[in-house]
This record gives sequence, C-alpha cells and structure tokens, in this order.
Amino acid sequence: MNPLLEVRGVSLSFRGVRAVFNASISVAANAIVALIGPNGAGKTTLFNMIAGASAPETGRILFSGRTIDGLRPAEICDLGIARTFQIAKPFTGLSVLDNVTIGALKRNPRIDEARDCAKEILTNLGLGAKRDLPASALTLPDRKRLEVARAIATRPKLLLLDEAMAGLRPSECEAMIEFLRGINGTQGIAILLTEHVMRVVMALAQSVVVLHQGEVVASGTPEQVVHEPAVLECYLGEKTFI
Amino acid sequence: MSIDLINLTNVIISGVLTGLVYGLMALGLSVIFGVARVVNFAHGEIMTIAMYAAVAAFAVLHLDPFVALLPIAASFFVFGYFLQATVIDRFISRPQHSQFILLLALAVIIANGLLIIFGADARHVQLDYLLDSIEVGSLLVDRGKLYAALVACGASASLFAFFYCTRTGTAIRACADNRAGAKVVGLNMKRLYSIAFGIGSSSAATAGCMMILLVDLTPGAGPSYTLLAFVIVIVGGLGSMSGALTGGVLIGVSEAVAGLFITPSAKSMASFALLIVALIFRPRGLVVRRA
Amino acid sequence: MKQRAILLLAGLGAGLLCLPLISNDYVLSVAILFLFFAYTGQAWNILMGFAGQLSLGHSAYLGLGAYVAAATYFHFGIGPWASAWLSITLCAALAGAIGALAFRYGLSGVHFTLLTIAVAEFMRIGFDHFAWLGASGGLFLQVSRRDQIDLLNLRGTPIMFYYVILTLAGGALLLSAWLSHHRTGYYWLAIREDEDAAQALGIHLFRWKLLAMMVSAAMTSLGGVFLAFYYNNLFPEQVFHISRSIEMILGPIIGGIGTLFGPIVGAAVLVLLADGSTEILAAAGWDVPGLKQLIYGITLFVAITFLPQGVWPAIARKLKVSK
Repeated sequence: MNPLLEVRGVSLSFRGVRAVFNASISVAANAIVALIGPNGAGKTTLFNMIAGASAPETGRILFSGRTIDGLRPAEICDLGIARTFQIAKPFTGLSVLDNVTIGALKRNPRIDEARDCAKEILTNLGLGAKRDLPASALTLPDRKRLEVARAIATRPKLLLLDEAMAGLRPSECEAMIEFLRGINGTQGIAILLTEHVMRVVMALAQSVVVLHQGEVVASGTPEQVVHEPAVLECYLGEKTFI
Repeated sequence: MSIDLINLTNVIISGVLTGLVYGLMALGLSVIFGVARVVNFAHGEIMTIAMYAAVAAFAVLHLDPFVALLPIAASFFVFGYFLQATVIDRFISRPQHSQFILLLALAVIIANGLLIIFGADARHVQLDYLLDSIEVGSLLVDRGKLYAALVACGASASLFAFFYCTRTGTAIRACADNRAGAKVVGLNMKRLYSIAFGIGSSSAATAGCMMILLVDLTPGAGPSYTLLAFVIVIVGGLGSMSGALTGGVLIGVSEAVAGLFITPSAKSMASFALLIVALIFRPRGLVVRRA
Repeated sequence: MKQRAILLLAGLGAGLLCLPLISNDYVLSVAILFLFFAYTGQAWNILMGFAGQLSLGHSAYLGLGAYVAAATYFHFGIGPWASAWLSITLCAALAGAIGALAFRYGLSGVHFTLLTIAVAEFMRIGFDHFAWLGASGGLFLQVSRRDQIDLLNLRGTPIMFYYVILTLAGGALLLSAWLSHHRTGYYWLAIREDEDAAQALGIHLFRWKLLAMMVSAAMTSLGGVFLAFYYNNLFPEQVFHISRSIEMILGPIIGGIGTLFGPIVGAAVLVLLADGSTEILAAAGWDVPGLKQLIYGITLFVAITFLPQGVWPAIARKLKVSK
C-alpha cells in the first residue's frame, strides 16, 4: 500500500551548514510516526520542508503520490497537511474562537458553520470555556492547545506536530495524548510528531524515526529504536553497555 | 571635443558634486536605519531645519555657512541624540508601522512649524566668492558646488574614520551587524542608538548647510529630501555607508543628466523610477555587503 | 450590548440625516469634510486595519480617480456616474499592479510603504506635466449654478454634496461591517496578525493581499471623484501630494486602526480639533497658513504615542458597546 507521506532523500543546507542530509521518512495513512533526535538534529527543518516553508535542495516529497516539494505552505494546506509551530503563533489580537474559526474557514467557507466547527474542536480540546478570551491572555500550555485546535480545524489528512507537548503538565500531556489518539482513531488523521518527552513517544507512536545531525540514523517501532546503539550514542554521546 | 560632449561632461561633474552632498545626507539616514533600525521619515525635515538655521546665521550673524556648519552640526547631534533617547526609544518594541507614523508626525510638525515661523518665501544664501566658476581646460566647474562637495567629502571621511578607527564607532558597527551579539557582549544599546541618531542628524544638518548654497529653500522642501535620501539608500543599500555615497553620486548624476533631456522639473521622476526598480529587484541595494 | 450599539448607531444616523436642516453653509462644509475623511479613512482602513499593509501613497488613487472623472466630464461631457466606473477600474488596476509587483517580490514593511510613496510622487510630478489634463495649472470644471441640483452631473448645492458623501460614508461602513463578518475579513485579519501562521492555515497571501489593495484603492477612487466635483478644481500638486495621504490615515489612527467605527470617530475628532482651533484662532485674528497641518501633526503624534489603539476602543468600553 502506498504511504500517505513519502519523503525521499531530502537535503537542505543553510550557508554551508548541513541541516538535513539525505533524509527519508514515510508515514502510512492513519499512522502515528514520531521524529526524535537531539536539539539541532534537523527535525524542524524537515518539518518546514514538508510544510512548504522551505524547499529541499535535493530529493522529493510525495503526498498521496503527488509531488509536493516546492509548493507554498498555503497550497500544502489545501492538499490536506496541517502543521503547528514549535513556538506557538496565535493570532494574539483575536479571540481564541476567532483563531480556530480562521482555521475552520478552509473547509467551511461560511462563517457560522466555521464558527460552530471551531466551538466543537475547542470543547474537545478543553478550551471551550476560554473561547472568548483574547489569544494573548492564554498561558503557554493553552497556546499549544490552541495551535493544535487551529490546525485540526483545517481538516487535514496529515498533522505535523512540532513539540506540541513542551511545557505541558503530565495531566495536560495525558489529555493531549488521548485527544490525538482520538482524532487518529475516529477521523483517521495521520500524525507526524516531533517530541522530546519520551513517554509521549512510547505511548503514541507506532513507528519512530531518529534524526541526528541531519541524517536518519534509525527507524522502527519504539521498542526497537530505543535499544539501538546508534540512537543511544547520539543522545548520550558514547557507546554504553546494555 | 564637440560642444554637446563638453556640456554633458559639465552636467555630469555638476551631478557628481551635488550627488556628494546628497550622499552625505543619505549617509546619515543609512546610519540611523542600519544601527537603530529607525525608518527616519523626518530626515529631510531635519535637514531643512538646519538649512533655515544656516540662513538665519547668515542673515543675523553674518556667518558663512562653512563656519556656521560647525555649531549647527554639533547642536543637531545633541538634538538627534535626545530625540532618539526620549521619544523614539519608546517605540522600539512596537510594530514597525507605529514608528514610521511617529516620524511622519514629527515631519509634519517640523515642516509646518517652519512654515509658520519663516513664512513661505524662498530663501537663499549668496556668497559672493562662490559666484564664479573654475575653468578646468574647456570644462566649467561651479565653485559653490565644488566647495560644498569638498566639505561633504570631508564630513564623510571623518564619519568613516569614526566608525572604523574608534572604539565607539566599532561598537556601533557591531551593534548594526549583530544585534543579539552586541547585547551579549554588554554594549549599551540605547546609548549607541542615540549616538547613531545624533550622527545621522548631524550629517543631515551638515549636508543642509552645504545645500543652502546650491538651492533655494522653502518650508516644504523636507519630503522631497527625505524621499531622495530613501531612494539613494535603497539603491545603494540600506545600512551600507559606501552604498549611500555611491548611491548619492548615482542619483545626482542621473538627475542632472535627466534634466538635460527631459523638463528639469520632471527630473525627479527619474529618481522615483529608479527607486521603484531598485525596490523590486534589489531591495537590499546594489552594493553587495559581504556577509 | 448589541442592542445598545444599534440604538446608538441609529441615533447617529438620524442625526446625520437631519443635520442639513439645522445648519448653515459653514457647518455643512465642515460636516462634508468630516464625512469625506470618514469615508477615505474606511477605505484606507481596509488595507491597513484588516490586511496590515501600511500604504502612505493612497493619494495616488484619490488623484487618479479625481482626474479620470474630471477629464471625462471636461473633455467629453460624460457625467460622474458613468466615469466613476472608469475611475474605480483604473485605480483597482493600479493597485493591482503595485500589489502584484510588491507581493511577488516579497516587499513588506518599510519597502512596501516606500513603494507606495514613490508611486504617488511619480504620479504627482507626472500629472504636473500632463498638458491634456491641465498640467500644473490645474483642471477646472464649470460651476454652472450652485442652486440647481443636477445629481446626474453632480452639480448643485452643498446640501446635495452632503447627502452624496453621507451615502458614500454609510456605504463604506456597511461594506466594512459585512467584510468583517465574512471569510474575507477574517483572512485579512489573520494576514495582519501573523503571515506565517496564516499561510499554514491555507490562506494564500498573494491573492488576499492583492484583493485588499484593490478594494481599498477602488473605494478611495470614489472619494477622488467626489473631490473633483465638489471643489471643481484639481491641481496635481494638491491632490497627489503626500499631505492628502497623511490626512487619509489620520482618522483611522486617531480613532483606532482595524475597528469599524474608529475611522469615523477619528475623523470627527480630527475635524473638530483642527478646524475648530483654526476657526477660533482666525476669529482672534490669527490666520496662519500651516496651522491646521501643524495641528494635524501634533494630533497624529499624540495619538500614536499615547493612544496606539485609538480613542474609539476606550470610548466603546465606556459606552459599553465594545466591538
């Protein structure tokens, strides 16, 4: 079966520094894949290439069999890929509801329908009570949830989550994990997430890809990857005895 | 040489000389934007106040602009320093368009203040010893323009010396090149911004003292000079000092030559066309900055 | 809360409708100026308050709109109701061209603003040399009889002009209100707030920014048409001058960029303040050219420094009608 997202051998350098080199990933439809690696490994750069914010210098990116590398972010969203940003970018001058409504307008051009859709999503994510607050008034964890809500509102087939759990308390983490499992199960949304919190990765991901200094060094199920020497080396910097 | 070629050469020389004065003015804008990141929409107005100051100094104190320029430049440094430190600094963290509008407001206040104080009549400073032209072979060089250009060169040279040979100057350049790095090293940004604005105002004022020898002055002159400064700085490169001077000469020459072929009053259209082209193809300017 | 807002609005509307009955020619002319600024302020607000692009060259559309309408009347005898369409089309095309160039090449911030200024200046000098349109000497429309109302040709009494500009201002308000409840308005606000986030939500920046440019320009051009027929004379030096662009932005900035009523409130404050003070001073014997513009400048300075959100949001909260 063809994977939903296929990244084949992409590379990108910034002013001579290799950010990503010859990386390949695939995400099956309805799957949850985690991208892990130390800071600076190239995870966000890879995300940016998939989301259209940067264009890869080499390689191809295919979504549902269609080449998408080089497309602009808005076109990528049209095709069904939504993303969150590592540092949340809410529309601070607008209310929480308006933020998500704007996302919902993608598939529901009518304001009232979009607003209803937005209200539902906010309630599911636990932000229902805060929907009339200005987005600037939200705490950091709430902003992260708002990012996710807004992205979901565009009804994507694939959701790119860039460190969506950072800063969340364990109970909030759990709630988010449940929510993501939910949308993956009921709405069939595939998820590609980057994470530092290993517990989340183990709980959510069906397959894990490890990135180190821009290259893929391991991939497989979470159990497999966690025991690979190459992975331990890149996190700990030396070979360890198991 | 045919007469047309001599005429053209004279016009080009004239353009270069005027362009050097423009360049000094634009240098000021470049320093202000490059360092303090302030889009100084009141730059032309600052120059205009200086021009009126020179006129007043000449009329009342009988001071030659070449002499008056020293106290004028100094006082404008102080003026610019305090303007940045007290008023503009509050806008550092605000969206860019707020800052733009602030300076626009200042420009409107200055321009109309000058109109109210000095009236709408055109002013000029006439120095008898500048009335003739110097002959270089079969070429004619206007003495006033030559001296003005020499002063502009001298002022620009001292600015270069300041920025490349003194500690404060180097600190300011560091601040412009790498804001975060400058903070980490512990430079006092606010003070450096204020110095930069002071220098920028001072340059504009010096250029003004020279410009008053070349043109007639009206209170509404400010906006044209501001726009001219922006054209030069965009063509030459926002934040690049050598670019400002190069751009100044380029604009001076193109305006002068355009004045030969199209109606003189329409010659600034050439500058605007150049700006539009530069904005589209090289918003960072034509002078390539080494990374 | 919404009922309060509607009541207040209705009251204001009624008041404005009845104003000519209780005022003299002078008050009427001030009211016309207020409505003109309210109208052009709404038009500019579409681009700035909604889409977040600072244009300081809107005088280009004012002037182009004015000259197109005036020229077709002057040279061909075509009335403004027909030529207004030509004005709108040409101004939208101009804005489209500027926008296409600017947004294709990624111009934003100061570069975009400078481009708008350059275009307006280019047109000012260009029209100064355009002999067929009167060049710097100006274009003059015949003022046949001020007491006869000829709505078709916009020749008539000040009262007629008052209702024309009132209709325009009212229309602009309705259009802004409609847009703010429509996907267009929401998408523009998203672009204003954060272009990267907006793109990630599927908002195609180029086409929406271009739309804002063109709508704003088209609306402004009608202001120009009004200007031409109200004042009956046009000089490039005046109509394309950057002062016109600055006057157009004063209302929204004082009242509140991005709000529905900000441009209207701001225009009122501006006209009362500026015209009021110059009148008082003139009565005291001080008729100083440049004083009104100086007051504009000071007002702008005070507004941007101390009231960056504008006066309307604060007033709205007091009146308990926020939004």
